[in-house]
This record gives sequence, structure tokens and C-alpha cells, in this order.
Amino acid sequence: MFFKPKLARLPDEELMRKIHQGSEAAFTELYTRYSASLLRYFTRMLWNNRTMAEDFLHDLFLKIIHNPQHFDASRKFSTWAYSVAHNMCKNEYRKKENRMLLDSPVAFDQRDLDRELDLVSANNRLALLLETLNEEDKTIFLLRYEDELSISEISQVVFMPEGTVKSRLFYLRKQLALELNQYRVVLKEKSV
Amino acid sequence: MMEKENDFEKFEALLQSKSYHELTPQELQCVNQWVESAQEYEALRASGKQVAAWFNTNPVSAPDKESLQQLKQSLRVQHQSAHNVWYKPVWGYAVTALVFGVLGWWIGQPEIKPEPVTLVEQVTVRDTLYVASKPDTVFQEKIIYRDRPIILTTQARQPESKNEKGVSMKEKEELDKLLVSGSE
Repeated sequence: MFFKPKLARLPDEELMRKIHQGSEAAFTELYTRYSASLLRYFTRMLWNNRTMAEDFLHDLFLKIIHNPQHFDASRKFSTWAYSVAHNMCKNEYRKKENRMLLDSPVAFDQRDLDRELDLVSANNRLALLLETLNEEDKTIFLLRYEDELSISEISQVVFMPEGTVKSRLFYLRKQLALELNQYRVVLKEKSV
Repeated sequence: MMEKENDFEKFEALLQSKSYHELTPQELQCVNQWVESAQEYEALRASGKQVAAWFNTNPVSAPDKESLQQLKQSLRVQHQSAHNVWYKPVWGYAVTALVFGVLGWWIGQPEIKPEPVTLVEQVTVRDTLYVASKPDTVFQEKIIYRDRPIILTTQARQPESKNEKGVSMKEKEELDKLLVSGSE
């Protein structure tokens, strides 16, 4: 405890400055701090596609290596990294939307999904409910309830006022509670 | 509305920690800004617990170390060009030798004598300065007209140079006289 390595005690922003100078040790430290949470975020956001999530994580850290000057030192590193990740996901969602429009002109029907949901377990239902959220809502939800970021940090990541983040979170929780409650009712009816 | 927004984090904390019946009157006041009934509160609480449980039961494993190695390699390549000179051992030896050389010279230097202290005394000197300014008197040229006497006396005859100025009137008269006397 008393002989904690020096780099481990440095703040993220200082590590970024060292990475700018080419310090491998600083890079390893920063990677250790954020790779797991960012990979988790990418995996959840990118439809549980682990390979794609790993590629995105790799790309994000490559951006840090090649363009460390893009990091605004006045900002917190964590919010900056998450906002870069959020933008990458946003682009991917846009690409997917375009691909879907090209593949099938029929819009995604929420009710079809709901019908399928009755057949799956509660855990899977939750996963599928997350899938139905749009990119922004999903980001807000995951950052708050999985990565446990503060409301202020989330508002900086998604570039939204704090009030909007709070009202969206409340709406999402309410929607989720409603869906899960309905599911419990369906299960009870089935068992009867 | 602003107060309601500020209470959201408190409301979330209460959802996590207390059931509706455990809430104090003050906490109830905060909670009632967001929900209308105990059922709604409990439904939100249950879904929150379910979400937390789902995140725990579906963890995402950490990335493999190979990715880190590749990234470190990229970092090395990125900065190799800037610091390439230090990677060459010859330059390393040369710099080390230079450092030792400078150190040796510095240590072997004779003791530096202290410089004598010079006292600088300040002396006040008074001097007269002529400052350019506009003149008090303006001098102006004046023309004075006055009569001047002219002396009309004849001067002694000056010997004339031969045929330089031609024939004067007096000479012409004398010549005429001679011609007239000659014709008689």
C-alpha cells in the first residue's frame, strides 16, 4: 500500500500527457484502468457482438496513440473517452440503419418484438428490451446503471443538459418497470 | 421543476436502499415528486434490482492482453521516429562520453577567485541647459530711400586702347573739322 507504483497514483490527464511523450508504461496504466469498462460499454452497445466491440476498443486506443493532442486537457479523461466511444457507436448505428433501409424497406416493428418477448426468459427479455432502445437512451442507461457515471458526467458524454438526462433516465426506468411488470403478469397467467 | 431535477439522484438512492414503507415523511415528500403510488415506487425498485442483477449475471470479460501488446507496438512505432537517435547505441556511447568529459573538465577547473567589489558612488552634477525656444525680437530688413549727390566733374582722359571701342563723338567732330578745313 505504501509502495504503490508512481504511475498508479497519477491522474488520467497526467497519464495522457506522458503518453503524448511516448511513455509505454503510462499507456499500459491507462489501458488497465479503462479497457474493461469501455469494452463492456461497446459490447452492450454493439448488440453483444464481442468481436466488433474489441475492434472498437482497439480503434479507440489507437486514436489515443495517434492523436493524443485531440484530448482536451481541461476535460476529464473518462468523460472524453466515453464521448469518443459514444460517437463511434452513433456512427455504427447510423451505418446499420442505412443497411437495414437498403435490405428491407419495412420498418422495425416494436409489437413483433413484444410478441417474441413473451416466449423468452426474464433475463433475455431485459436484454431484448435494451436492444429496442435507441442509441442515445441506451448510452444514458448503461452509463448510469452499469458504469455508474454521475448525471453530470453523462451529460458531458452525450452533450445534453443534466435536466434532460435525468428526465430521460426516469422515463427509461418507468418504461422498464412497466415492461417487466407486464411480463410478470403474463407468466402468472401462463402458470395458472 | 428545478428542485425536482435536483432530487433525482436522491430519489434513485432511495429506490436502491429503502422500500416505500421504510421512507421517512421527508423522504416521502421527495419520492412523491416522482411517483404517484407505493405500487409504482415498488415496481421501479423491483425493476432496478432486476437490472442490477442482470448486469451482474451477464458480465463482459476483460480484453485479452494481445490487444494491449499490439497497441504498445503502435505506440513504439509512433514515437520511434522522434526518439530514433537514442535507440542507436553509438549515439548513446557518444553522449555518455561527452557527459563524462564535461563533468571531468568541470571538476578539474581551478578555484574561481572572487571578483573585487567595486563601490559605485553617486555624484550630483549641475549643468546649464539651453533649451531652444521662440526668439523674443523679430529682425526685419528695412529699405531707406535718400538723396545722394552726383558729382558732374570731368575726369582726366584715359588713354584708350586702339580701335577697341570704335570712334567717339568727340573724335568724329574733330575729324569733321579737319575734313572741312582740308576741303577749303
